[in-house]
Amino acid sequence: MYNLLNQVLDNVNEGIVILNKEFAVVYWNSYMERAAGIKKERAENQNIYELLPGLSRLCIDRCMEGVLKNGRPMFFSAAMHKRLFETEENYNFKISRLDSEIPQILLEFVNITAQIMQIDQLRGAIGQLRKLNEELKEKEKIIKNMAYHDDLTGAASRTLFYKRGNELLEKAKEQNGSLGLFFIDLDSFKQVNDVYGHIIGDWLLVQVAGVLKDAVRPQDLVVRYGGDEFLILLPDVRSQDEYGEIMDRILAQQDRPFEYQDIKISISLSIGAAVYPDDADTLDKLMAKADEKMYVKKCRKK
Amino acid sequence: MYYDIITELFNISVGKAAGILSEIVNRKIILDVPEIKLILKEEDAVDLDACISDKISGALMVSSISFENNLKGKANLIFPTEKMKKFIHLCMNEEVAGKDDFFSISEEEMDFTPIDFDVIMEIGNIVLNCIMGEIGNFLKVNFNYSLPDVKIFDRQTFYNDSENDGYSHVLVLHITFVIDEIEIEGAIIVDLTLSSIQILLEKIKELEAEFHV
Repeated sequence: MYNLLNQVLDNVNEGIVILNKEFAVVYWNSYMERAAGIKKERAENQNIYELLPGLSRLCIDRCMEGVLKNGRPMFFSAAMHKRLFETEENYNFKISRLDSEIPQILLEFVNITAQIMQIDQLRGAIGQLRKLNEELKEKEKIIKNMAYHDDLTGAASRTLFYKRGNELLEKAKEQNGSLGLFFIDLDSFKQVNDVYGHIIGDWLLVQVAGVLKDAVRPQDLVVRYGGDEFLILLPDVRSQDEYGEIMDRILAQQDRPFEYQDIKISISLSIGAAVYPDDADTLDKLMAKADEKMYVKKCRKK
Repeated sequence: MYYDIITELFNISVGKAAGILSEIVNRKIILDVPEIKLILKEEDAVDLDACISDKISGALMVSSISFENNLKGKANLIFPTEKMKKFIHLCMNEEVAGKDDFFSISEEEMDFTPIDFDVIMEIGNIVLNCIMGEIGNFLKVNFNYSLPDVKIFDRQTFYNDSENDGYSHVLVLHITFVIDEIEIEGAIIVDLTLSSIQILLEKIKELEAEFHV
């Protein structure tokens, strides 16, 4: 029977050590020979702390004494007790008391290196996934920006105009506020394209967008509605007294010709303004009203 | 008066646990038992919830041991899970990745791993051993039990389990863990049978009488 038990202990997949009450080795299984690189013959009768210096800590010694005294097993995790043996492997270990005429101590060592590696791999994979997710979010932002802004001039797109315009109108209605809208058209733009070509035409649109952006307040939104038509959303603007100054700043830029290499191009802008609540109560109606006023001004110029 | 006596008693025992833990993790760990309550389950069912949720919120990480001979009961060391990741990593002496680091994930974002459970099992083992050892010394009995089981519970499941296990009394010890800048409020809940609690109360009365002599 003793021989059979010995074989069992030599075949279990964990390190088994039995110590006497002076902590000298009385049994050392085959697994321990491989794990610690110490043969049974050398281990027997040796003090455990001399054989495994990794265990030689005051706290472990105190726990070992405690187990011997009160018989309550103690568990030690590989995570908090690294390098028990002179290898890179990680072991959980347990100290228990074996009750016989003279109590002895049982040490069990379980290798959890593979588990730690799997967790590290998993952590790496999650990290990679997170990185990809961040990149995706970044791309989503770029796509959104593309939808919300005009590629050529960098001004807001129609999509953003309707989104922001409706939000502002809603807010104005709720809070008894107001919203102004400019409809701006670049006079005789077709001729610029015909005479100087589309490259210069496009360049001029970029300049005009720049003029508009420079003239407005930080809270206003400059929109390229299409072709040579621009819109400006003016939150909290109620009357001509309030938007007149902005309009003057824009029109003042007409006096200065734009220079493209040695070509000088003068521009003329027609601006129509409409205001919620006086002129209309929807964004489309507000736009129609501003367009109408712009058209009147344009006709007067002819 | 006897609450003061046993509070002092438990503070001595968690002090011992703190000493062992500090040496294991190479950091200063402070453990303190600021308050103790004895609750009769049938009468004070609501009280247990109030008593714990006052200090501990969210899901619970519980290490439990059951003991049978001499006294029958069950002891649970309870931590709120929310701060446990950082706590475990401080115990492991490992750097915790920051949230802005794209290449490694912060520990708070990962579920508890088997390695985390091992760390809590070791801490639970040491703390519960010291507490139960002290109760054992006090009552002059030796408790025998195996290593703690570590589980995560949502609060209600834990209470339901605790209500249906046949124990009549609960001894609740609030316990504070301080490691580096982290402070964690936990609790130790010792479920005891009526006969066990009677033995405990008698011993406390004897001790109280000795003080008055």
